[in-house]
Amino acid sequence: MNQRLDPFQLHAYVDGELAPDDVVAIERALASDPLAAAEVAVLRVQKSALHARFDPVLTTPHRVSFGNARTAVSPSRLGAWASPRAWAGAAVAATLVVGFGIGLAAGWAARGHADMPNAIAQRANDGSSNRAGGGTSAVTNEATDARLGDFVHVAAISHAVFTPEIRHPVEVPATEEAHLVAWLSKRLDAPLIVPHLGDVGWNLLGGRLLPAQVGPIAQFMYQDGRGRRLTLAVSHAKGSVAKATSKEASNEAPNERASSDRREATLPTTAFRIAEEDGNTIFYWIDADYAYALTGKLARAEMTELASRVYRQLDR
Amino acid sequence: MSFSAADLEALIPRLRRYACALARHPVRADDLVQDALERAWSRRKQWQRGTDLRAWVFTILHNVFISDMRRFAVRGYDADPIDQDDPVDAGAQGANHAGVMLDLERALAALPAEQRAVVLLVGLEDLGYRETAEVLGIPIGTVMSRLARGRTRLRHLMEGSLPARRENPSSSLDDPPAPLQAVHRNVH
Repeated sequence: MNQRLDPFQLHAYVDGELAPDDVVAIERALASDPLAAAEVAVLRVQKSALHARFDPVLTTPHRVSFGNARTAVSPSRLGAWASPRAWAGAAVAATLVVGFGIGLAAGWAARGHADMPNAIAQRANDGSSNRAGGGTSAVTNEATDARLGDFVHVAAISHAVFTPEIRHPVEVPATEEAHLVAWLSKRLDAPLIVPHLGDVGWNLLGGRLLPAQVGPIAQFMYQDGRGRRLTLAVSHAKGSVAKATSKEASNEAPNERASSDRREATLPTTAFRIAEEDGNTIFYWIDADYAYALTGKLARAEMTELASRVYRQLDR
Repeated sequence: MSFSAADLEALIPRLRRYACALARHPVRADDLVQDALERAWSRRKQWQRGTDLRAWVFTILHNVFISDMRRFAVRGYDADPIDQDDPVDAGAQGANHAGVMLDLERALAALPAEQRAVVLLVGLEDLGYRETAEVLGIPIGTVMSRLARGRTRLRHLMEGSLPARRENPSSSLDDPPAPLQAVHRNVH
C-alpha cells in the first residue's frame, strides 16, 4: 500500500492536527515517500524560521501601555517587569549578587558590553557617570546588573508565555532528553545539566530555546501531579571567569591590582536572590559562568526547597 | 465576572509577536495591540466566561487589522514606505522577477493578507485549525486551503520563483486579492 499522500494531511501532520492513529499511518507512508518527507521537512523549517524571526518580539521593550493607563487596576507582573522601576529593582537586587562576586560579574560584563541593547548600555553608562570617579568596578556592576536584570526579565516573561501552553509547552519533550541537552548545550555553546526533581514530584516536561538580547537562553519546564508548572532558565556568559578577571586586572593601575586579586581570591561560587511578583516566585543566581532563574507560582518555602535541590544538582 | 486587566496584559507579548509579523512595522504593530486591548477591555462584558480569552482577543486584533487596512487601502496600507524605497522590493516589482529571493519578512508581506494571517496563527502562534477558523471567522476547510497556498507561496517567494507582487492574483490562486475578502465577522 503506497497511496499518494494528501498535501493537506502533511500540513495537518506538521501542525499536530492529526489523531494518533493517523500520525502512525502517515509516518509509515512518509518512510517510503522521500518527496513527501522532504515536503514535511520544508514545512518544519518554515515554521521554525517564523519563530526564529519573531520570537524575539516577545521580550523586546515596547510602548503598549495597557495596565499602566488604568489607574484603578494594579499593574500586572509583566507590566511591572517592563517598567523602568522594575528594572532598577532588578539591578539593585542583582547588585547584591554581584557584590559577592565581582570577578564573575566581569565575565558577564565583558560579554554584555559587546551585544548589549543600546538602551541597557545607555542605562549602564548613565549609572557609571552618576557615580563620579566610580571607576571600573562601577561600570562593571551596572553593566552586569542590566544584563542579569535582562536575563531575569526574559525568564519571567517566558515563564508567563509558555507555562499555560497545552499543546506546545516545550519544543523538545523529556522523552528526548539526551537530544534536548545536546541541542541546548550546542546552542548555548556550554555544557548544560538538567536537574531532576522527580523524587519530589516534579517531572521534566522538556525544554526550549529562548532567543534574547543577552544571548540564547535554555528553558526547562517541569510539572507536578497537580498540573502546576515550574521553569528553569539557564544562560551562559561566554569567556571564562579567570580570563575576564585577568583582563580587568591588566587594565587597572598597579595599585589597584592587589584589590583585584583579592576579589578574585574571594570569589564565591553562588549567591541566591529572590524576586516575588504577583504570585510568581523567581529564584535567580550566578554559578560559575552560568546564570539561573527558577520561576514558579508556589509558596516560598516550596520554592526554596526546589531551588536548593536544583542548585545542588547544578553545582559544578 | 469578567477577566482582569492583568489577564489582558499577560497576552501582550504574544499579541505583539503576531501583530509584528502581520503588520510588519513595529510601531504599527504596537498600535494594533493597543487598539485591540482597549477594545477588548471596553467590551469585556461580551466575553463569554469559559471560552478562550486569547482567541477572543486575537479575533479583536484581527478585526482591528482588517478595518485599518480598509481605511488605509486608498493610501496603500500594504505598499507602505518599506516597499517604496526598498531596492529589493523595487526589483521584485520590475518586469523580471526571476531569481529575486525575498527574506522572510518581505515574503510574508507579499502574501495576500488572509493567507498571511492563517500562516502566522498556525505556524507562529501555534493555534489549532479550529481556533484559527474561529479567530478569522472562516470555515476550517478554508483555513486549510489558505494555509497550504500561503505556505507554498511563501516558499516560492523566498526561493525567488514567484513575483512578489500580485499582478495577476487570479492566475495562480483562487482567492480574491487581499484585504477585502478577508474577515467580515465582528466580535459582537
